[in-house]
Amino acid sequence: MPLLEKTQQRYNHHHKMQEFWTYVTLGFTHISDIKGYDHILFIITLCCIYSTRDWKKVLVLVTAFTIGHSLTLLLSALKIIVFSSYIIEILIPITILITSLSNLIYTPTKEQQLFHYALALFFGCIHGMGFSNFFSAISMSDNILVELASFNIGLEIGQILIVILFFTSYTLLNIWKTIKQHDWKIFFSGAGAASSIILLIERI
Amino acid sequence: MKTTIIVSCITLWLAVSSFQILHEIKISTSEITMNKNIMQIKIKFFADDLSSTLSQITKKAVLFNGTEVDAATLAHLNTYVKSNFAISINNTPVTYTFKSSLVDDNLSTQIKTVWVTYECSYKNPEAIKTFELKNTLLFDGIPEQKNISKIMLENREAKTLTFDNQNEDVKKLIQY
Repeated sequence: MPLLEKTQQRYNHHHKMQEFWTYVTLGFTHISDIKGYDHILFIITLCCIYSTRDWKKVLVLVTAFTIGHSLTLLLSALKIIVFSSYIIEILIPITILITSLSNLIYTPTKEQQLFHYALALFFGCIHGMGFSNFFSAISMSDNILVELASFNIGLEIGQILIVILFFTSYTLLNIWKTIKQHDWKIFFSGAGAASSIILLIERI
Repeated sequence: MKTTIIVSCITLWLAVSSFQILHEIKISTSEITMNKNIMQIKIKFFADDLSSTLSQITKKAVLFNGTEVDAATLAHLNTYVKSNFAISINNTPVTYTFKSSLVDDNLSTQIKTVWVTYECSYKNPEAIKTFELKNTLLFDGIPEQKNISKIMLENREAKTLTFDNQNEDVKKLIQY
């Protein structure tokens, strides 16, 4: 292989890696940005019905949410599904509101557990469309799939970190002062419901 | 009782502060390409972000209607871009001129973007040793703004640079 071609290949590889990390960082900072905490709030309202002992259920739940939004990110990027951003921006607070309200009637039965997983999967799809619409609009690349996949990996890392931080805070607070699981659930579901209603009014 | 009051206050604070939320991605993208002796600069903005920033600067409503940026807005936009998007090659500032604009209103997603293209000629691209870019576009209007610039010079390694309004590093240097 000619030297010039080899050098060009090495350059391309370097640049792809650099681009990958750029979009991973962008995805991570996007989801962990406290100023736009609607996605953080959604993840917290999803998880607040569980204790640290339920880590397997949390893992399934986060995976369901991840599959949901990865699926719509991909389908939107390929332009297989296209939704109005206005509708998606209204649906996002609705997902937080429904999750918060369903938390209040949640009892740990198998049926309700399955319903909660399904909710995470379906609502993940809606959140994914929100990410994808804005990202696709601003991208200049002809093939945005790699950029979106990298951005998605950043989102996933951010989500996992939010879940870990949430349960670590719960554990630490419990060491300091006993907090009943029920109070914890009511607090975050209440905060989620109140914020989502205001968000909804603002976006309508 | 005390706990209930504290919990209610925090919940209320969370709810009230959520008035600030609109979780859009605050980014602009740009691409600088050089083929032969022509350098082309393409910049893409979310129309609402650009509109609010230019409105703040000009103290009047700046709107992007139609398929191109209108002449009056374009004058402000060009001045704005040139003072916030500066290129230096081998420590010498590069002057570029406006080529075209496009207002892309996607009716399906309801997201409007504005593209602007600039061009300049560069006599000796082989002699490029350093390439410096300052990109502070929309930093004055949007605190969480991030700008992503891709630099692709012929026969050189492509680079992607990120400019974050929350960092002080507004100039980036590439050495070839």
